[in-house]
Amino acid sequence: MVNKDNNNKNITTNKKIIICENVEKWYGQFQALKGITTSIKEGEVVVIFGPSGSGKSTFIRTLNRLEPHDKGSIKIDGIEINDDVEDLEKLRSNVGMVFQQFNLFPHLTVLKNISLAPQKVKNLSKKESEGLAFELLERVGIPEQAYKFPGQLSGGQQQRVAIARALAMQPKIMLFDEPTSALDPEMIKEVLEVMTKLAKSGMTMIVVTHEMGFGKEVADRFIFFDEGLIVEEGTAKQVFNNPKEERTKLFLSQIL
Amino acid sequence: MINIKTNNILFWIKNNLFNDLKGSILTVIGLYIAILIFFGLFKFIFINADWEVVIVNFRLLILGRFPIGQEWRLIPSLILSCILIGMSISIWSKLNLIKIILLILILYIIFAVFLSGFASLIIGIAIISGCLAYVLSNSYVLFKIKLNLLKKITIYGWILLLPLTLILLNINGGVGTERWGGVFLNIMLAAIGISGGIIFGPLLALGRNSNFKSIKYPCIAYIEFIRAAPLIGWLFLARFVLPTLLPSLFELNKIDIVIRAMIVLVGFSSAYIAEIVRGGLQSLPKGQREAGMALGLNEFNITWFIIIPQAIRAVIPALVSQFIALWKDTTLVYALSLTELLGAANAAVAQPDFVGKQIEVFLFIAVIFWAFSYIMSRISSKMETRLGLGKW
Amino acid sequence: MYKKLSLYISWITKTNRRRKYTINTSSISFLLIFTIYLSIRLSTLELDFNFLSQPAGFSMLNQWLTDYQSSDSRIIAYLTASFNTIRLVIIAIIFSTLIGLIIGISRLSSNWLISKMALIYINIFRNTPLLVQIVFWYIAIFLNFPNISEGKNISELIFISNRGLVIPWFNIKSQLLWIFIFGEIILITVSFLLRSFINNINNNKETKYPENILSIVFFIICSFILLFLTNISFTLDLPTLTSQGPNIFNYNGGLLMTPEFCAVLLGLSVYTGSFIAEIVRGSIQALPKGQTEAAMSVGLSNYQRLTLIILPQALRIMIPSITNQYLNVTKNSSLAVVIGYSELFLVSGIIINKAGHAVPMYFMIIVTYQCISWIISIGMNYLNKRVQLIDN
Repeated sequence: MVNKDNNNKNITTNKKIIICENVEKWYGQFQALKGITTSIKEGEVVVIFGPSGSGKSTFIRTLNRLEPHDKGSIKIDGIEINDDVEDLEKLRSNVGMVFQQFNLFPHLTVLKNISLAPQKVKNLSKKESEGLAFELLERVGIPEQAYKFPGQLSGGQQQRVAIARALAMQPKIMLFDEPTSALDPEMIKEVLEVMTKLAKSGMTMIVVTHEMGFGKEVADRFIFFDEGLIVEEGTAKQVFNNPKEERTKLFLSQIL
Repeated sequence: MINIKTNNILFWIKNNLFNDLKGSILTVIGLYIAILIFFGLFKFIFINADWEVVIVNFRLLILGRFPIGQEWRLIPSLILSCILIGMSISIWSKLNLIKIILLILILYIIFAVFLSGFASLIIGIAIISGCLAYVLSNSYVLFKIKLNLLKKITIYGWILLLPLTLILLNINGGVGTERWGGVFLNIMLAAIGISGGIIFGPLLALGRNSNFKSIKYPCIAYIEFIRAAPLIGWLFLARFVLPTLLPSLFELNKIDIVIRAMIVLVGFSSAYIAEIVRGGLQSLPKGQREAGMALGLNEFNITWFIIIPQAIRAVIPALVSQFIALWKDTTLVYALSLTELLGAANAAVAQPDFVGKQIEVFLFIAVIFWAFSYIMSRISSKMETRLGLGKW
Repeated sequence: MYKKLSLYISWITKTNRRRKYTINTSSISFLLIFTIYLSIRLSTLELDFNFLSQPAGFSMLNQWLTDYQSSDSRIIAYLTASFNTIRLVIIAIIFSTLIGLIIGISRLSSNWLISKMALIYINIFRNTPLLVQIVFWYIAIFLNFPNISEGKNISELIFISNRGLVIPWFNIKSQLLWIFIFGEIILITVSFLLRSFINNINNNKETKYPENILSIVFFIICSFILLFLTNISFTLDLPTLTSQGPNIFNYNGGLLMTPEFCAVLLGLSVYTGSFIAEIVRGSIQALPKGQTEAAMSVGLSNYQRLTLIILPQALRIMIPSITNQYLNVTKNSSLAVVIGYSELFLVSGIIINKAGHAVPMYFMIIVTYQCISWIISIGMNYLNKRVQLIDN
């Protein structure tokens, strides 16, 4: 179990749930990832930041094999991910993902959006999955929107539904790919609140974002990506107050 | 009040018909042409024409050479379709009562003129059950049935209509396809062509977009190959070449020309529907599929629950216009010497009693064709306006 | 046993790699089996092309510019029929575009009567099957014209009877006609090349050569030289009705347009015209309303606004859809087989009847239709590029 309170995290299990070694990925001639080696412990909250095109999104998409990596190894919960992995679907249901563009299913109600995967993958009954969905909607704060369609919701509400949908599969890891970049400023706050609550409940989270305020509040570790490589990583104090690399300093001066 | 009304009408006439010199000239010319055509038609239909040919050959035009005494097979489907039409009108359309009553009266008068005795009675029962269904489904609240349930029942009803008809046509000996004719043949061909196309078309589209080259290329080849030639070419091929290509197992190479035409229609419409659905598939953002994958859904679930519903909804107007084209294309089997409506019309005119009455017969069948197509295109435009949030 | 099967299936689908292998191998093996079977079956049919050089043995009524006799070889028969088809398609395209433009613009007229009449036209002819329209024109109209002996004529220039329409035409002595046509096609290509060559030179010059005028003059001069070389003379030919005995009448001179040709042409033009009218209407309505308002505020007359502002922009939107309609005209021309116009489909059918070899014949048919479609597509694509906005 994990014991957390503000900025004084006590991660009691040291189990590394994600282990990446020399992960490389090419898009044709362009190398997007040039050898990423890192590991993430259970319960850890990691924020990945960096300039656009640096490979952040590519990296977290290789973690649930939305993109296959070309070299190196990725192990999630002890299972190596490659073409020979058995039950890729089961693996993916253990890794939840929240997208920048929400990607809600517009033809299904909010309730159906959330309860679809548990019904089909975990074989829950309709009643059970809908109960679970209502629970999660309460957790993200919008239980009254259950029977509406995504098009009827605001951006912030849609993203919260997306988070609930990912949580419905009860994953061990949650990946966030720039979850607030497509939102209007007044809605970013409500989504970040949900994410903060989630982090404090002990979920392993990897978040690609520019919201450093959120990161400083909940992140255990920051990773700075640039041009396909991890340039620097460390705690908030280490990275923000004493950045070691020039590039880190440059980038931080641009966004802070 | 009356003054204002007449003022409005005059104002409207002045603005819309006589707004300037050119407009006025056009109106006069247009009126002249319109009156010529209208009165010419009127004179023709009610005075000059001899509708004997249509009345005597009515059964030929509707059912072709369907064996006499076997019509009972079609009665349940007829009544069921009227009921379904009644329910569909009440659920989805905003026709008001007056228009419906008018329509039914017209239909009944026409049928009373052309049919006698028993057939008239059956048509009457069908129409009455349709009206009953309309009234009943309008008051679904009284029966404590949710609207969603009613919609589901209607849709399932429509889907079951075709299998029901086919079963009824084949039990107890059955009526072989070689005896199907008239408008009935057109309807069956169109129904099977559309149903087959809507089953195989999306499959082909998915295959064409698949990542497996061994599935993708055959699908592309099939679609482009079929689209290279006109439908009539394929029909002729089915008539002359297909028997040699099919195995003599189970006497497959001797199957009836009607069934062969159906196979061609299904194959042809699948290729065109595949292209349309492919457009819909391409309009989906990539993220939909990724979201499904991230949730751990397997390929089948992603395709069936997420991709296909959205893709088809996106292209419904194009799909319906393809259905209308298919309906019109069913006349092409006339080139295979099948007596569908056009063939029946020619057969009627060839009879020695009725030589020279071509215009009457052709006008009649043109109206029948037109009516079906027109109704389908109205339904299509209704659907287009309804596609907003969620399901229709 | 089922348990074993389900275990096996879940084993196969567990990893991505296994899935890929399974799907690839099963589809490739299926394709192999299908291809092998098809080749075995096809080899039983006659597949050579020798039969083409043998004499055809049938005559064709509808010919212009060609002089085909029944003793000519089958390949000549096929070429003549293709020429008939091309001629039909070109004229039908021209007529249907004219009709479509007029009706489409009328549909948007401010005169209520004109726009309603255009709407009725579109509704009627779009919703009736093309085959019914063609057969209607043929049987009910053109064949009902009076006999040649009682035929009407318009000021001795145009004759109308149930043998067809006869109009004055050029009389072309066609010794080296094919060479002339071939030469003209090469000349057109060379003129275009010349034009782009002059364009290239113009890029670096101050005073630009007028490339259009130069290439057109070049084309005209070379055409005359070609005319002179191939010894083709054009004379105007007036038709006359001659009698070779009691009740044996004939048309001499002029150009005879058989009822079959007229019926197919009329049907195709009217039908496709209604589709083009809808496309024209849609494209004009798709233009931002500001265009009309800006044109009116600058003081352009209605006609100027239409031709200078609206139509050029609407063309951009129209051309892809109209290209589609032109391709449909090509495919639909095969319907002429039903009323006996000797276009390439009918002639191929006769050849197949007499000489077998259905598969090579169909191959040739598909190739010919594809060629015609390609030429139309390429032409329309060129037009499309020319009307694009000079955008990035």
